[in-house]
Amino acid sequence: MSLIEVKAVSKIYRVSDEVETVALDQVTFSVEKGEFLAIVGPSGSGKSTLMHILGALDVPTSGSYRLDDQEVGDLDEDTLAEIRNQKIGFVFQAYNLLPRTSALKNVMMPMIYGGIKVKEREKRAKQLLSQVGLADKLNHWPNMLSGGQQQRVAIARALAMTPAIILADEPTGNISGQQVTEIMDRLNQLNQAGHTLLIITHDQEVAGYAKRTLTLKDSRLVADNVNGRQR
Amino acid sequence: MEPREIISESAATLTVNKIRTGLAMLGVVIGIGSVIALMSLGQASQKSITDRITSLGANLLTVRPGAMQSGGIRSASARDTLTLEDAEAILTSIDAVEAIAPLVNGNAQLVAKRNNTNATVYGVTDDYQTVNNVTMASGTFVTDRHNTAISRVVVLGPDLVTDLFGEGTDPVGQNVRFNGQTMQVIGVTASRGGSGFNNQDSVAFVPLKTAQALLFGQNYLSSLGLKISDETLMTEAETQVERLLLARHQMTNPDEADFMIMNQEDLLATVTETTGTFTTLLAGIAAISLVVGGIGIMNIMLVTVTERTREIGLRKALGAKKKVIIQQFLTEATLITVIGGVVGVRGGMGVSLVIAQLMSLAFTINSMSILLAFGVSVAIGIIFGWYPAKKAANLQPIEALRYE
Ligand SMILES: Nc1ncnc2c1ncn2[C@@H]1O[C@H](COP(=O)(O)OP(=O)(O)O)[C@@H](O)[C@H]1O
Ligand SMILES: [Mg+2]
Repeated sequence: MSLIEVKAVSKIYRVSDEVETVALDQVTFSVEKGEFLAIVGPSGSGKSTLMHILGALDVPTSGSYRLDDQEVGDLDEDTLAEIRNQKIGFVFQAYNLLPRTSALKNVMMPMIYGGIKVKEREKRAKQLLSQVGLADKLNHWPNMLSGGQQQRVAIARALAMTPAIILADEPTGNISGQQVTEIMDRLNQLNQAGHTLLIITHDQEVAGYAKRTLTLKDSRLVADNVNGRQR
Repeated sequence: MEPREIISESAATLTVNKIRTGLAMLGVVIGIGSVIALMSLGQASQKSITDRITSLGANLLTVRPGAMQSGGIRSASARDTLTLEDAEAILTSIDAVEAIAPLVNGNAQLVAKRNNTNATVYGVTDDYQTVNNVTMASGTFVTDRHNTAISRVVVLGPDLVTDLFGEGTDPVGQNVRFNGQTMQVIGVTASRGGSGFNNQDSVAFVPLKTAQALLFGQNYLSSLGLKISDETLMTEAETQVERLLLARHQMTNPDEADFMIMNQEDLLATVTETTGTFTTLLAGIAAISLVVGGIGIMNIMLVTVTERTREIGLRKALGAKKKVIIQQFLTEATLITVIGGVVGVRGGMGVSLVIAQLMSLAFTINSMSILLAFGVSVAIGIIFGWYPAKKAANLQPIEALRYE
């Protein structure tokens, strides 16, 4: 049994009565615990759609997605919320931090919904923020932080509930230079610490950190390479 | 999430847009405020009237013309049934009746030189003074002699003196004209202070016979007060009066009586019922503004949900269940209405305190109305916050995150 098992998953968006967009077409792959995977492909190829399904934010139109041996498509909304809270940590391209809310509170948010006690929340959030080098920015609002710093807050937040899987959708898409290296080093560390890591990216350098690369094109999975070789 | 946390977080959200929160709150403040003010004023006037009735003493019977109908309402058709002869017969033949106060009343516009004012005119006999404990500020009250002579004399209440002659003047000896008659002022009653409904200080007293013959042109009484010599004789006196009047009106069945006899308790019950209905009616009208306030809250909450679509999506993506989102928005709505309710109760009390002072009423407020107002505020928050909260909870996380 693999951690993630995707079998013939398709996602079709009905835009109107006549127009349908096939965002994912019969995608099949599986991911073992502890892997570091990059998902690449041109814009519009279905990468984000795939990540939303893997992250239990959306369900496939057809096919099967099993997470931890559980069929995700069969679950109700509240159970999906619980899975997102307990098993998955998201890092979004647009950071998606709550505005006018301190870094500390942002990191504490998943723990509120995870039912962790107030004192424990604060302690853990401080710890996570110092691990990403933001110990002196606890009470800063997102708009007072640089893009790279905001993304580090988002990474700290993704780790709040110690999820098995971290999903990052173009985490370096809005930052550049030294900051990209910082973010990737941190993510790499997490993978080495045992987190399963899936990163969507455009950037060859970023994809280079991963051992395995899935390539999507026109909604289909066209390549699955490990260390540069077809699997 | 602990309740304390939900509340403090909602409070923090509400303070972000203070003006909007304040405006949303205003509807509830006005609604609750007017309900409280009206209920409190209604209770105050009721208390003032019942106090007056009580102060007259428990040994008083009032006979009124007209048949008793359900709810104490008199039929207009049978009003002209009680005469001065009835009153005199009662005094002479029933021992327990110590004094009688027959009364005709009507309204008139009083004119003195260039001033005029509206007044209630009571046609009375000298006994009215004893039966109702009227004290004089100057001059004398209506006497027996005035009645026999059908004299053109009038006793003014202090408010009328102020309106007609100016404050602090003594009008005794001056003339007042009304209903085509010129009447000489013979006295001024002492101020009793009075409520808006029942202001004894703006009554003009004239001799009963003068009122019947010259002012209103009728032979009938509007009411007849009876002073009973001893409280223990009340029930017996009531039966005797009823029997006598039935006989004088050639009736046998007490159910057909064209008059009613009320003791103090009956009077209190009627007054309480009427003012109570009135108060409820006014408060009901004020309550409509509460509904309007509630709709305002719903409107603001719907705008808030739309504005915070991304935030809601993010919270759901990070694991917030429907229930938590509903709780968050309901708490925000309820916080607005409860704070609005508290401000409204205080404002309403303030307004009714000022009005009560202006009308020289005793300010009263019962804790029941405050509790009720509080309950209503919570209910409005929950009722009108429900739909927006539900709408927020049903947002799909990815769609909400994508929302621009
Ligand atoms: N909510 C949606 N409704 C309709 N079409 C959508 C929706 N989301 C994505 N799509 C379409 O699905 C395809 C894949 O999109 P996406 O997964 O975002 O691609 P990528 O992340 O690789 O750029 C695109 O053609 C896009 O227009
Ligand atoms: Mg994308």
